[in-house]
Amino acid sequence: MSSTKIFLKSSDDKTFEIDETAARASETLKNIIDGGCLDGVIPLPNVSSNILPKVIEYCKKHGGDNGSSKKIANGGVDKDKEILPDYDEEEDKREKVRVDELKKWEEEYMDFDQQVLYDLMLAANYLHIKGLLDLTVEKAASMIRGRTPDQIRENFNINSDFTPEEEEEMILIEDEWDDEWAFD
Amino acid sequence: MEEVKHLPCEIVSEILSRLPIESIMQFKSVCKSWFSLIEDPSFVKLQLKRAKSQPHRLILWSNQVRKNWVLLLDRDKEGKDMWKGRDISLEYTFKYEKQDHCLNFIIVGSCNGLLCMVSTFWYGCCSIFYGIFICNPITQECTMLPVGGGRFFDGGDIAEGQIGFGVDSSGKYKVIQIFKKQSFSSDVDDDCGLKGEIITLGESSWREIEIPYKSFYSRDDSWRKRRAIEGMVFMNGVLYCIIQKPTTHEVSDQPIILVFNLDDDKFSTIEFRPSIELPPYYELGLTEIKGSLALHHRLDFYDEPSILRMWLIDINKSKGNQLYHCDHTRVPKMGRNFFVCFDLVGMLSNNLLLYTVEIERGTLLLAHCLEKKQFMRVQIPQAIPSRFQAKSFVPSLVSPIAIACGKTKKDGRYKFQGLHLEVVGYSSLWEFMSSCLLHPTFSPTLSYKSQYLPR
Repeated sequence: MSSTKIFLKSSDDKTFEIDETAARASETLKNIIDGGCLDGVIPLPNVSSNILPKVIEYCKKHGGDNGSSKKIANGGVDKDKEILPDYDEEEDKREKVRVDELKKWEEEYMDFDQQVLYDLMLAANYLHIKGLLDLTVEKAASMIRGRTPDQIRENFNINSDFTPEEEEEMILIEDEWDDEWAFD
Repeated sequence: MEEVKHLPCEIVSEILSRLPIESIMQFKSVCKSWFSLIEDPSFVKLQLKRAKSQPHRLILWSNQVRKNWVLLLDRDKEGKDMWKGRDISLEYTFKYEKQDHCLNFIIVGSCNGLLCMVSTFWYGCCSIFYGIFICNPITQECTMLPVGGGRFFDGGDIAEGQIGFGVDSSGKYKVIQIFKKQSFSSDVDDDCGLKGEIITLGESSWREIEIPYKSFYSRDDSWRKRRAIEGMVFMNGVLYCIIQKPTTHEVSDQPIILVFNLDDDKFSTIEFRPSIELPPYYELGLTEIKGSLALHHRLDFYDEPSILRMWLIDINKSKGNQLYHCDHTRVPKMGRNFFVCFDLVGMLSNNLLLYTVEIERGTLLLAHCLEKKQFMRVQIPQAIPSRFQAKSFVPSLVSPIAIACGKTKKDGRYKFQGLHLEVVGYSSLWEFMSSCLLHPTFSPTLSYKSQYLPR
């Protein structure tokens, strides 16, 4: 595939360059490119200039290759392979190395604070980059796992809008599903 | 810190759908929009999809004298053999002579977070069949199926026959009962056909279905040869169970697998090549192992360390009779036992098989790590009954009531805490039962004594 350059403009009017193959990782950008409405620069009013380079970095890594990212989403192992005898062991090893390398890259890539995480989720959602959305959402989920509803409200800046009577009922549910396992 | 922007609904559902069911249930109380999001049918679908790709959970249950005991088990991430459990209150009662009586139940099927339960109660020294329930132990919702064509009331004996529960490709949940057509008056070993009845969740009556296979075995065979009422295995829109191979002349102990396709309501069978030596049908168990059907040897008499045998059936291969003898493991000796019964519960995650083992002093839960070829006894911190059964389970928010009533749960009500069922409009059980017998299409209405919260 030819590597035509595409220009993206962030919400604060900064322009970034990306290869067309990489840009195709985004469903939204792909549609714009295929729709032939390429008028030099694509404006992205929902993505700021401190997030856009992050998005481009991801697209560069994943552009034109959806195979291995899918493998990770499935838990890295093809279920048929482990129990049925006839499969290519060599191919499996190579695949494993690829997956491991990608996992390591993702780990380094995902090292940022919560604010960036939220912005990145919004950007991935807006640009329809499934892999990036999965990655960021998974991280957000692991961050809130095991927290109490109170902590969640604080974290997501949500006010409880239940009436006092409803609140009481809610406390019952909370208690029932309290994550304190009877261990000690 | 800068104020966090509100996330759009679709991102919140993506995040929540990746959480364990306990967190999801708890986070209903975060705010009204999260509450309605979690109740929304599209979220229920999304959560189910994610939960299915996760390692399955385990449900343990046991009928105790005055209480049913259900435990939702989860493998502890850090610990090795200590698993965590959560008590789930499932209380089903019926009114008889103005008193609440507790129903016992057997879980015969587990599909998409719904359990199919056969309930019985003790009357004198007999266990009497009461009904079949579909329930979601997470949301505590439960619906009772209409009473079938009278088979179970016929002799009161529920020891024989099998019940299957699954969902077809269009999302219809179906329950099928298979039992032997048997004349109770005859003492001769008669060749009995199999009889089947099926119902789709939401329908008002059972339909009889023809099973073009016969089963030959004498009525007074030893208890081991009578298959206890147990669940058929559900996998990808198809139900499977082991039956005896039909022969034209003599009684055979050879197993074959009866296959029922929920999409077209058609039966077929899987036969095995004669070269494969299999134990008799009554010593075999059937389970799903990661998308394959597995046969395993259930019974063992042992003085020495015993051998666990398992065969994987490749259904996709032509004629469907390929068996892979995949597992052949020596099990460590567990005390001085003369007789053991293994049941393969299933594969919860990659390389981890779970067995329940019945020995003299009770039931053990045994985890078998395929990679390390190691067995370990699963420890549960709670006090648990000495005998229990187990089933693999995918926790979901699927509502059996919504499916049965054809309604979506959008009316903004929810239920919590233990659920009590009560048959309404029938003051005595016998009146209720006789009305069922007289009107096979009768469908009792049930009231839910749980509390509702108007939005």
